[in-house]
Amino acid sequence: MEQDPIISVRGLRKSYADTTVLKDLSLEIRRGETAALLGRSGSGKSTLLRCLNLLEDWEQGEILLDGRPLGFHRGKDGQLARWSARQQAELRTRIGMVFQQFNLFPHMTAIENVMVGPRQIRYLSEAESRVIATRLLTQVGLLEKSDQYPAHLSGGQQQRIAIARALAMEPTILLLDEITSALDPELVGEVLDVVADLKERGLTMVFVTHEIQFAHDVADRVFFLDEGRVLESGPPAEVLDNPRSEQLQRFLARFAAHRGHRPRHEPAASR
Amino acid sequence: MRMDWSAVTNNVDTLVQGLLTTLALSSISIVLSIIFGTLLALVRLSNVTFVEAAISAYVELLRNTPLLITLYLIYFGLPLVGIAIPPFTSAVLALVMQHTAFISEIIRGGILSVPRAQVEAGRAMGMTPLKTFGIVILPQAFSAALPSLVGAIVILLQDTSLGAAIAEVDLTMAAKVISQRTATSFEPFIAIAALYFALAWLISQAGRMVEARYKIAR
Amino acid sequence: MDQIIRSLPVLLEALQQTLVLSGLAVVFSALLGFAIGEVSTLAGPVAGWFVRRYIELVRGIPLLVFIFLSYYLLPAVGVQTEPFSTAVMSLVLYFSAFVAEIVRGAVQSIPQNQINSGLALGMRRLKVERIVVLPQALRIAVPALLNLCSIVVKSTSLVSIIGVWELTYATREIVMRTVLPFEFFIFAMIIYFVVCYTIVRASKMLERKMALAHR
Repeated sequence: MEQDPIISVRGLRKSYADTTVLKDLSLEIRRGETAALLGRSGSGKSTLLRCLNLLEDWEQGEILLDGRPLGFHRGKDGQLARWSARQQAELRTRIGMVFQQFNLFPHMTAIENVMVGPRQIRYLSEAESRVIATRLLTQVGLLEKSDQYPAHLSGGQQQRIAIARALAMEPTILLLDEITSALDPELVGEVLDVVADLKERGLTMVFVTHEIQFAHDVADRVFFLDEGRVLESGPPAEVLDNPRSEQLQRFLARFAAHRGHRPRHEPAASR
Repeated sequence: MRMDWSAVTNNVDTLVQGLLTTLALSSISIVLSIIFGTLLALVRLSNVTFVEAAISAYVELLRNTPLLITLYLIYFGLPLVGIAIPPFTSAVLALVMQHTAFISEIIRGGILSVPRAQVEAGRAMGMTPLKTFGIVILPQAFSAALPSLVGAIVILLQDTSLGAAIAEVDLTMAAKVISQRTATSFEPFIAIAALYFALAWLISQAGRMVEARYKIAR
Repeated sequence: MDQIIRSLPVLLEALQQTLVLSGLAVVFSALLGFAIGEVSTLAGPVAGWFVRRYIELVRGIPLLVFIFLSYYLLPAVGVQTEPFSTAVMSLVLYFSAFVAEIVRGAVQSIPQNQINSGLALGMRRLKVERIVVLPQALRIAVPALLNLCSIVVKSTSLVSIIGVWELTYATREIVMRTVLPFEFFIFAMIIYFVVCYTIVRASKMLERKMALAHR
């Protein structure tokens, strides 16, 4: 894994109405790294993720992808102007996203969902798209469900197909927005297995999650967000096992208490 | 009460002519109404306030006035400004004006019923707004609007009967002509009532089959 | 323009006729439709089946054909009437099917649990209907019924075709005389619009008020 950053976020500020969600947020994601964003709700982690693929815009600060600024360009008069819809769409072919609610297209079968990117955006032939989709569905373990419609699939299966759909665009970076939060507990494992496998393959990923244990096991670095800023960051062994700030300690304590109904005094069992 | 069906059986050719005219009126008007209705719905969703208000006004105006008045307006008005058109065309114009308004509302409802999350999923993959609309929104919008569209088609079929008011020989006018010609009273009308009913039933059945075929389970 | 002003008294009287026709049609089709709707839900599956076929039948036939049919059929069965009564009768028969459909829908939306609770208290079925079901069902049905009123008003224009004098007939007469189709038909459109749009807005307001009251 190289050390140079592929994404640099500098001094990002974003507000909704009168709430400022991101307050001066800066971080760097390195090429090939798996980064986890943790924090309480309202800490800005999903908002940050959505800024990275321009589903949200921001008031101040900048985001650099491979050293080049994202989302805005300097016009002839020197003023900053938002990218056009076409430019934004082009970016999103390189940065993929998987959502909490899967959002599969209900009028297409599983394989059609995975094929739609290659076919309609990359303009590959039907045959080529099918080859790609078949490979990816096999990779996520759902080849036999190719011709099923989303309504007939479980949440875990739908989410794995959503991941395959995002991968079909061959993105440089994959963003995962709380992809297991809407799943029944017994379905979470199959999705996390797919993500762990993607890490093995070297894909740069940024994920927002509540699965602290998973972040601990899979992430190369963890970023703890609080009140719109990065409060702590570093390898999970450092940050999660030895939290320095009071906010992070309280955050982790809450999760330890709720996980698996273990009594508070027992040490947390490791995987 | 004696029923004399000879009036009907001896004048089947007139009935057939009426039926064909009704079918022609219906099909042309339906196709045009759906095309214009879709266009209107799209324009309305484009969020240009002035245009939206204008279309809104048009839709509300036509939904709250009788089709017969619109028909008379076209039939009696256009010749005065030098446009001479046959009754058939007047009828088509009036029907299309009226039903474009209805259908644009139905399609707009269908489009608005597609969850925002679907649009985001499309955008997140890198689809341009146009592609997102064509690939993600439109199929789902039409599937949602289908039952109402079938209902609107049946209503349009029945509205074609107003052609009789301007002496266009549709099915209703045919019955009137036959009853006058043969001095019978109601038999021709029962015959056409049955025909209208059969047509409406066929359309509903076809609609149900199409719905089942294209139903999108959520 | 002054032609319109000169014809105003005639048109207003014609409007009155339209409203009278509409009012009669609404009242009687409401009564008849209510009866049919209730029968279809209460009187057992066979009656229900017949009623549903009746509703299907009426809704598959254009109103104009209905009107012509009544116009020609009634004298043949020995009922001598003038166009006005024929018109009202056909409107009532036609729209009662729509009212029945609305009433049925509203009544069936009341959960069976409520009916069971009423029966469990010792009430007979009809009483349950009167005290538990109808007050709620009718409130639910009001917006749809008001909407139907607006449709009735528009439909009265069709009776001009069998010679009943109302707003559309009067407007057409005036146009024949003055040869000013645009001015007068558009004016008639405006009058119809004001009446119908008011009814529809009232219906939407009621719908909103009811939705809020049911939190």
